Amino acid sequence: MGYITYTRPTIITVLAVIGFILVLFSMPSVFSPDTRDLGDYYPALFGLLISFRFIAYVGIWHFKRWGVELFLYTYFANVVIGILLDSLSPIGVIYRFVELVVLAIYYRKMDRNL
Amino acid sequence: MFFLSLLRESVSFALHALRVNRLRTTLSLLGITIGIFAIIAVFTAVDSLERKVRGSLESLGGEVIFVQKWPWTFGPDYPWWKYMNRPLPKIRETEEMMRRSENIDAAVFNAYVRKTIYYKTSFVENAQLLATSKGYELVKKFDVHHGRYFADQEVETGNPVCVIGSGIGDALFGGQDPIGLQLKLYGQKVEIVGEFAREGESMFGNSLDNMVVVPAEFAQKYIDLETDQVSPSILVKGKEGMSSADLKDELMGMLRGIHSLQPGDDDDFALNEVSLLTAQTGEIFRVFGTAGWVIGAFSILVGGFGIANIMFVSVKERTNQIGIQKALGAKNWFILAQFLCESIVLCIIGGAIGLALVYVGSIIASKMIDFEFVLSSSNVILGLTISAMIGIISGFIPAYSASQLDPVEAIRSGM
Repeated sequence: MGYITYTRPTIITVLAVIGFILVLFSMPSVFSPDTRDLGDYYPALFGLLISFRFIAYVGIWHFKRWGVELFLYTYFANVVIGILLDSLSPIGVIYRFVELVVLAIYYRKMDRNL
Repeated sequence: MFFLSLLRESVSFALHALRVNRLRTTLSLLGITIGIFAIIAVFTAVDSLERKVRGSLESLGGEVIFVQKWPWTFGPDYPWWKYMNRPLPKIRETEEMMRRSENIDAAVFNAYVRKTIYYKTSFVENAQLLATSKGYELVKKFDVHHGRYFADQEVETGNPVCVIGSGIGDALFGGQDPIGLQLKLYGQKVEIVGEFAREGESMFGNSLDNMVVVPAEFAQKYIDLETDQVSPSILVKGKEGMSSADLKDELMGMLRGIHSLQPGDDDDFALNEVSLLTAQTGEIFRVFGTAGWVIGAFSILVGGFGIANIMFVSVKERTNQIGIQKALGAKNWFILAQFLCESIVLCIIGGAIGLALVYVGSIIASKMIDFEFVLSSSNVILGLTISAMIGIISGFIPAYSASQLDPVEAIRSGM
């Protein structure tokens, strides 16, 4: 039994490219003075979150389900940490929610393998 | 258990890569090492400097409000001409303040003057003399190493007594117990009743080490304590549980009353507190931190590309080996984890070398200049986090591409 393969839709490509750029730009914010002020362990948490978000975008780029799943986990982790540390950016949350909705639409068409 | 064996295998792969391609791996790691060194060195220097400045500021009196002529705020619109005509704080105002308020724990008059002090044939030129009124021990934390601090009666009557700093003690008495000896000040014999414990240098020159403290009632017999030259101030400390804002409000009303100001008149005094300076210095250190962060971010970026490059080369070199592993049943995620761990380990090694360099550098710098640089645990965590993050981000794509290799093609590539 062969797999049905789908080519990556343009919207997913756009989301992934924007995601990579955002990850690249948010990397330095891990060790910015603002982040350090939030707490000693916050840069470590934030760094881990950014790394996982990057991996999620790699998965999304390859049109893999695990990419969407990892993206979902990082989204909730980001919201929880943001609420706990009172550092939640509403625009970021809304943007990622929109991304999540788009990804959910294509989820069933994505490859379930690694 | 499985994870540990995978980790051990990955670490051994990373170390093997280091050993086999020593020069190439070292050059690639150099990017991470320099990046981590740059960021953490700047953060260490800024944190150490900030700790020192904050410590010095706290020693001024964290819970104390300073009633002075000049405010501590600075800026382009500083109306100095208004402040110049303000009256100076006076000793008798401290008594008036204590009489009018039940919320004040202590109100202490302080004035500073430079004076040469003598003991027999020895002398200390331009020693800092602090003339203080009753209650100084309530507004300033200090320890008396030898002897005692003044009794209230000695201060009120202006007895010729003094408490000296350890620096003055060393200079005049060579570390001997000075209690009971007499200094010569303003031509008068002044008995030493105590010696302060060593405080260390302060960035604001307010360390008690090089001070001679005398009762203000004594000093005012010989010098005018109500001139700009002696920088007079009144230090006010509120009772336990009273907030600084409440104390300020109360002082504001009280001083306006004492100075007989009309409702429309501007205040003719300044209420300064250490938190004002702390906030200002915090902003300055933030700028330094941001500068270090920008420099380090670029170094780390370059280092990350270096690691990604070396990982792609590593995958290419070991394609045949990957094929064999897969043919023997290794799963995709196993290959992925193997290369990802290798990348993380390599980056952590690079970062650890950078941290070690900062540590050694901070020890050397501390010895070379009279300033203590401390590599804090939070900076160590930050350095290792950044290294691990770079390892994940720069190693994931090469590791993923390795995991997606077709075993047959991969084995064939090595033939």
